[in-house]
This record gives sequence, C-alpha cells and structure tokens, in this order.
Amino acid sequence: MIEIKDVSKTFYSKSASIKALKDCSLKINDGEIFGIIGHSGAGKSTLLRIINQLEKADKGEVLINGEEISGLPLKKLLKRRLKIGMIFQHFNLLWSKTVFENIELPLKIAMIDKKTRFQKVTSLIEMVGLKGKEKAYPNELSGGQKQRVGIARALANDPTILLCDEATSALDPKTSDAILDLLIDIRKKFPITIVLITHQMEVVQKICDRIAFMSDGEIVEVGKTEEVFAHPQKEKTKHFLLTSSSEIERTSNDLKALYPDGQLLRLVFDDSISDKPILSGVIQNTKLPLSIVNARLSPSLNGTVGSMYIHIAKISDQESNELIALLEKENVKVEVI
Amino acid sequence: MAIFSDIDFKQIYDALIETLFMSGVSLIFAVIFGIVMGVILYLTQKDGLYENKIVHTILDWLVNILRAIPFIILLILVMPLAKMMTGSILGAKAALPSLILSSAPFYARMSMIALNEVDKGVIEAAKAMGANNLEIIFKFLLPEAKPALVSGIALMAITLVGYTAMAGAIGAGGLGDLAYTYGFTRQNYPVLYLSTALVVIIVFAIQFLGDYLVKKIDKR
Repeated sequence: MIEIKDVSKTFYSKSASIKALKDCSLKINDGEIFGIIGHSGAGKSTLLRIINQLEKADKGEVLINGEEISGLPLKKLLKRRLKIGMIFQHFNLLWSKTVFENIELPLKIAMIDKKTRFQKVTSLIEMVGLKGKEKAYPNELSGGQKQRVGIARALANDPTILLCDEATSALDPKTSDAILDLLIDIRKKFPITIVLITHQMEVVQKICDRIAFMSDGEIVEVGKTEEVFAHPQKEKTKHFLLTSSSEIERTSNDLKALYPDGQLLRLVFDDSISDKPILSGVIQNTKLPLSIVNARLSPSLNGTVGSMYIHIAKISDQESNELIALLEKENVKVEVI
Repeated sequence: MAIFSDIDFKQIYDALIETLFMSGVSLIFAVIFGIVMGVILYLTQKDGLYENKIVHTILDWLVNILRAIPFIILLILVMPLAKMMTGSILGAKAALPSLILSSAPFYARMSMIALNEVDKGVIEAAKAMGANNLEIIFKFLLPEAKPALVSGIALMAITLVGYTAMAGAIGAGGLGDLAYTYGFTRQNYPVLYLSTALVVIIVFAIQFLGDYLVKKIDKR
C-alpha cells in the first residue's frame, strides 16, 4: 500500500512561490490501477514524483508498505527506486542506445549479471510486443513503440509500483488505447500497483479502479471511477468532468488554427439558462460583431450541456473584459481560447 | 622541374610530422582537460547534479579569461611556463603548454553545451531508475552527448592546426614555421604554397573524418 500523508510542497521562483501540493493525503491499495486527474498545473505531476521521491515534500510523509520512503538516506532510496518503475509522456529513452540497450540499463544499474540481463531483456521485449526490434534505435520507432520500450524498461527490475506520467498524452487515440490495454495486461500478469496521472478522462475511464481528482494542489475527491463519474460530490469535480475532454481540446485547437486573429471564446451553459436570449442581449449591449463558429448541445450525466464557440475579429482588451463580464453575469462559463 | 628543385622534401616531411605531433598531442590533452572541466561546469551549474556556485563561477571565469586572450599573446605569456616544463622556449614541445591552455577551455565550453543539450527527461528517467550521479554521468549523459562531443573534437582539431601555424612564428617548427621562415622571408614560394596546401589538406581530412564519425554515431 502507498500512503501519502499530509504532503505539502511549494516551489519558489524569483518572483513568486507556487503551492504545488497542499496537505495531500492519499491511500493507494496494492494491485490497484489508480488514476490522478486534473488540469495541467493542478499538482498531479508533483504528487506522482513524491512517490518515488524525485520531488521531496516540504512536509508530510510517504509510506510504501509501511516503510517511510521520504526519510530514506540517498543510497537506500536509490536501491528502493529499482522497485518503482516510471514511464513518461515523452518516453525519455536514450536515443544513442538500441531498444535492447535501453531496456538493459536499469538492470545494469541493479548490477545484474550479463546472462540474466540478456534473458530478462529478451522476455520483456517479447512481452511488450517488440520482438525483432531489439537492434532498432528509438528514432526508428513509432510513438507507441517508444512507449512500449519505456514500459519494458520500467518493468526490468520487477517493480511493485509503476508510475505513469501522462503516458498516453503524446499518442494518438488508437495507439493510446493499445498502450492502456498493455497496462491492463501487465496488472493481470504481475503483482503490481499502477499509479497514473493524466488530463485525459478517457484514460481513467478505461483502466482505473479508483481515481483522485486534483485541483490547485489539493485532492478534491477520491473514489471508485464509476462513482466519481456518475455522482461527483464536489462542484470542482463536476465542472472538470463537464468541461474537459479531448474532443473539446481538439475542437479548440482546430478553431484556433482557423481563426488565428481576433478573439475566440468558448461558452458553456447548462439547462437552467439554455432558453434565455443571452447572446442577443450581449450583442445589443456591446455592439460587437460576434460570429458563432461552432456550437453543440450534449446530453450529460445531469441534464443537457451546451457549448458554443464565438469569434470576434476585432476587439480591444477593454471590450473583451466587458463581454466576458456580461456573459458571466448570466451564468455562462467563459473560456478564452 | 625547376620548381621542385627549390623544395627540400625531407624538411617538408619533418615539418608535417611536427605539425601533426603538436596538434595531436595538444588535442589529446585538451580533450581530457576540456571534458573534465566541461563536466564540472555542467554539474555545478544552477540546478545541476552538484550545484555549487563558487566552483562554477571560478571555473567559468577561468575558461572565459583563457578564451579571451588571443592565442598569439598567450603564446608569449606562457613562455616562462614552457621553459620551466620543457627546458626551452623553442621547438614543438615548447609550444604544447600554450596550445593546450588555449584549447582546453574552448573544449570545456563546447562539452558543457553538448551536455546541456541532453534531454532533461533522460536524466529524470535515470534518477527514477535508481542511478547514482556517477552512473548518470557515465551511462546517460556522456553517451547521449557523444555526437556533439565528437564534432567538437573535430572543430577543435582544426583550430589547433591553425594555432600550430601561429606557434611556428615563434619558432615552434611545423608547417606554419616552414611557410613563414622559408616560404615568406626567403621568398621560396614553392615551399610557401606547398606547406599551405598541406595545412589545407590536413584540415579537410579532419573535417571529413569528423563528419563521418558523427554521422555514424548520431542515432537521432
């Protein structure tokens, strides 16, 4: 079991201090696939790195199977890390080494003899489905294949914990799905706890037993995945579930490419205001030439949610602030894209 | 062949060997000292594995100062040191201290840049694997920086060939010396042109070899 107790962490830069984690506590059970979701900057990444102590907390402790890892001296910590695998969004492979050599590296660090290394790497390559690619360099592989190398490398020393840092965020949906299937498969085969962070809801929906939602350095809500999705208890979680999905991200990006100039706003509204003539009121008030460039209504867990993208070709900062204020007064959620 | 009668081929051959000796030996030392200094600069910089402002600042200054002094002036400044070490201020050996002293900082800077270009994610992955700092340096950083380090060596070798020609002016020998003393001051133009051509060929050969090696080891 991984226990995170009252962990806080503040980052200091020259001009400001950012509280990345505020008294976070979390228990992750053995054999679980546990997801931490939240917007970027919510502190997910820091929390994940607290588990293998790549980040040291200012306060609080981390226990793995009762052993306090946050207090270990460096030598013991390095040894402990052999049993905590980690995979990354950008794979972080050594491009100067072949697939085989990349996977072999953690075994060399663990001082495993050459013969055992060879056997271990060969079986790992087979398990992640990269047979025949032993001598290839990362540069010759696709994104999905690179992540498979990353996974094999992370599993080399038979870890009991696998940390996944946005492991599928750089991959297309199909490849991402295949990687998630591989993770499910690994959990079936090995006694391993998987902790993953992501901003993609599809990911947690697909593979996580339980999830924690983080916002502004705090753990807002923890629960079984289906329960949190069906009945989010906290406002922040509800809002996150309503507003984030990769589809929205894609639409936003597409529209931004189409309308590089002027201002693009995304308006989100729910049942309570969907029959009010808000937009015509706003147009009369501001005299701004708005154009609606994309709109949709989608059924969600609690009623209908509408979203609309508007574009204004020419707008001053002041006009923009007024517009947003007017909309927000009518309970429309506004997001500048 | 009236032109070739003016050329003493034994003399040219000796000069060629002297040039290769001076460039080669100083290159070896400059690479060793340079890479050590470069690694130290890299490790001690801000957010480095062994962040240490004092060490970094001192070394940084040293490197900058040595790089700021024009080679021909350094050559004169280092003469007493050369005399102390080799017993003479003339000859190829006497030129080595100044050649090394001017090129090692150059390579230090280049290796620091090469190391800084290694993906920070790779270092994070290394730490997550449980690698200690020595392992991070030797198993991750240096292999990943290898192409840049090798192309740096080629660049520096070329610079050193140029420097040896300058060292020739104060009596270090080599092709530069030959071109100047025999070719220029005695107006033996065939010797001047031939030694120049040889220097150009050496430079081309180094460049070619360097490019070839980099292409071979660069798997990006």
